[in-house]
Amino acid sequence: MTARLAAHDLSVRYATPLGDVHALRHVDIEASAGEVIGIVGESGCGKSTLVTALANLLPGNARVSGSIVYNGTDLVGLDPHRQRMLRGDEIALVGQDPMTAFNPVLTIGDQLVDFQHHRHDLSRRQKEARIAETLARVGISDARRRMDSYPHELSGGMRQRVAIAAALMTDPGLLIADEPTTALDVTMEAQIIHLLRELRREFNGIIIVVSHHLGVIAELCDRVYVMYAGEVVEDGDVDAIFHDARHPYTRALLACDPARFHDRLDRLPTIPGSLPSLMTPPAGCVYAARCERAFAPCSNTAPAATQLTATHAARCHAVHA
Amino acid sequence: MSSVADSDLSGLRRRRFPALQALLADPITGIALVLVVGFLLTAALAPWLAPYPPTQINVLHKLQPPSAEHWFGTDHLGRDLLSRVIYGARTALMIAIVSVSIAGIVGLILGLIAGYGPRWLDGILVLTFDSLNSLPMIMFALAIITVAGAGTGTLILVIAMTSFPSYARLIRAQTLALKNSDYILAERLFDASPFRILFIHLLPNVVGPLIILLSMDIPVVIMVEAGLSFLGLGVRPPTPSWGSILYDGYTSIRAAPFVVIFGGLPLILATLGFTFLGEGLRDYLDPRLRAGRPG
Amino acid sequence: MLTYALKRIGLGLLILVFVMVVMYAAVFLIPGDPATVALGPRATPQLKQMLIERMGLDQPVWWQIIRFFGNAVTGNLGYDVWSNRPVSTLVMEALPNTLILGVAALTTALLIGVPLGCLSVMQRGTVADAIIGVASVAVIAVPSFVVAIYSLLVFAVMLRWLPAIGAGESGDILSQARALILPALAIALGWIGYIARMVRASMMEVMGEPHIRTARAFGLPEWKIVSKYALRIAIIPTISLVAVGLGAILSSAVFVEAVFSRPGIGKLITDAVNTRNYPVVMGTVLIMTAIYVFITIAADLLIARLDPRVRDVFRG
Repeated sequence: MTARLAAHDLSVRYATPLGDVHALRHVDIEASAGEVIGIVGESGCGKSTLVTALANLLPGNARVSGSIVYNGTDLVGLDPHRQRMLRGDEIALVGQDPMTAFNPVLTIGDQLVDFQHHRHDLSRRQKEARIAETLARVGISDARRRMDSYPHELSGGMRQRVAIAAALMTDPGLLIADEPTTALDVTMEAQIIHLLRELRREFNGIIIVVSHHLGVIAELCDRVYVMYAGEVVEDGDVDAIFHDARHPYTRALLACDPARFHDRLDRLPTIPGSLPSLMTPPAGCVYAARCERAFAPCSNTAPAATQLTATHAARCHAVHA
Repeated sequence: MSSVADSDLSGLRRRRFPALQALLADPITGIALVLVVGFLLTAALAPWLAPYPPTQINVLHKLQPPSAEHWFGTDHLGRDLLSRVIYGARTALMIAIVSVSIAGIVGLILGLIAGYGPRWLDGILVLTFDSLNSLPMIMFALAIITVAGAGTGTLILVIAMTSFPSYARLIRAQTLALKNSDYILAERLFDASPFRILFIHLLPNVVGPLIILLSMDIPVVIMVEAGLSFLGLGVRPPTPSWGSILYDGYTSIRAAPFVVIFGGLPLILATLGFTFLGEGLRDYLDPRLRAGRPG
Repeated sequence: MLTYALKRIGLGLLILVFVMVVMYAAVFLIPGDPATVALGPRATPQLKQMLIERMGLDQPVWWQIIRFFGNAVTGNLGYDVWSNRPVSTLVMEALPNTLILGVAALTTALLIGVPLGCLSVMQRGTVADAIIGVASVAVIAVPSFVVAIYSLLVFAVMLRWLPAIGAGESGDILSQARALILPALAIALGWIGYIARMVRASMMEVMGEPHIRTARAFGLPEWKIVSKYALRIAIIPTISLVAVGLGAILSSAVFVEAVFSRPGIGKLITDAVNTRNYPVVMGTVLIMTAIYVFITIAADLLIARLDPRVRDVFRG
């Protein structure tokens, strides 16, 4: 198995009138075909910026440094035309909010036909046949009728299935699901997770799932990156992260997951404090201000990654191999 | 509460001087400001600037092309065109400012009443505004002029009547939004009189957007005045107006094309100047639009 | 959808009645009676009395209003004071010329303005975008009748390319088309800027929506995103603008028709005002307002058809 995606020392900052926002700092990510990678962290930790960078969809005010090598091509600094040729062909994205992901005045079928624009070899009829087939594959009955529907005529869960179908149809090497279940209710969420689990068996590219929901990550992923304030603080196999977490932030995050409580608690646990400013990131460890184990070096020296096992690493002064 | 007030004050203080700078930073707004100030000065100083009395007829010198004596030439009655253009600025700006001010005041009062008054009154007023708004302005103007006769007074009346509904609508919308804001609710809890709430709290907050809208309507009014005067339905001759100069020039367009050229230029420059200045003002003063600009 | 349409039409009729009542009220609030105004101060009392009786001015105001509407419903808008021809005939003769002018101007403006707005969005932030932006505001600001006079001077008087006055020979389409070019362009110029600006503004808003990101994520080319995915939504507010625009265009037509002596509604009403021909003015204003109000309603219904979200709200 050869690694197909490797982001190295990836940083993204957004230029705003009030100053630069350092949304992502020195991130390293690796993924190989057949793997499902999870990215987890609370809101504003840089998850979305990371996947937006991987999908080449950063807004104009974003400044990127480092590299994202996909199948031997560095996506950073690639000319816009070649970036566009990769999008929707090699790289597909399933967005956060199925309610707004589709154009409201065009039918589903019309949009899905357009999304296959890289396939010059297919006629419109053939593209429609593929749509019907893929919609059936993601569990949508009477696909032909759904193709004539407008997005608002479908339920949220149904729309997310369509979004997944759209991504599958392009036959991508890298499929990114950005918070695929966040906007859905619990029943729908379970259905979508079930669908994604089914798909990962027949899919042989890379899947990246982003979520702040630990349960989703645990159910779907092989390896997990835990992010905090624009940095990866811990990464490892899903078992290592969920059963042998070493970084204090990962531990705190796991302790706050309601699904893992064994007893009824009077008060839900929380992590005290808030995210550091991304305008002026702290000189030391990003988590130092909220960390219960913080000591002298934490506030002025950024911790280097400590390799715990071949596949498990944490960035913390208090963690030793 | 106090921190909000403090930041507001410091915001104002920071803004006051850079406001002019920011306005002038945009070269087009700068040119527009120069044009507008130029026209205002021309209008104010007309008697000193004009080389001849604007209504002095000299039939022997009719339709003379531009010369050292008559920079813009003379019209079909031998009147000095430059002097008529200068006095025309006076007519245009006077009518524009007076009618827009009247419309602004009427709109402000009716808008506040509709927004703050009882619901039934609001309903009636809104229907009135909508009906007047749904009337093509020029058609209405022509109907009134038929009955009242052409003249400066009619012109001002017509312009005020057709433009106040949009001001009233704006003020009503602003008032409705403010009426339910936290600080007005707090005032009401303290039993402040409606008068106090209306004039101390609502008024200062709704006047800003109104002034932007008024300033943006000035070029439209200048155009309507010139247009009606062109049709012979605006100011009465021999009062100089850019519109009537254009009409005089139109009737002698083959023999003396310079009359329409010099009659139209100040009208174009004035509408451009006021329009771009209004645009600049709005872009600067309306934070919503500023925020809407892509970074 | 049908109930919505009926509701809108009902409201339109109400506005129309209200407008005429306001106009009648304005007429009676202003000193002087229409008969004196029409005939001038030196008219004999007998002549004045005759006109008063013919115009029904001796009746109470409310009765006059009811009678006016009663007659209007049956197509009788009163009679020209001077020629005694029915006002409805005069309006019907003039209306086609004005409508052709308005539609030609609006079509031209849309055909040029919409692509310019799209171009501006695709080139956003560039010099081209800035130039289109400033030029749009400039052409909106310049009065259409000055454009009309200047274009008359250049293309008809100096270059002699196009006719200066009239609506062309009746029955000769080519001559009518030639007579249409200058007036239509004079009106269209400002609207090109207005439409380009409107399309740009609403398009910029749409371009920030998540579904545009989806289209980008699938690598659709920018021109397709702009011309299909964004324009289909951005065009909706433009349509209502255009509908309101037709009313404003009827106003511009008054001036432009005067410049080119084009025998349309504008010229009819201007001449009527100049000769104090009150029934013609009232009748024409009623017809023009009705056209204006119902174009606005038609635009709303069209918007409902174009936007499937709105369509379903009305269906349910």
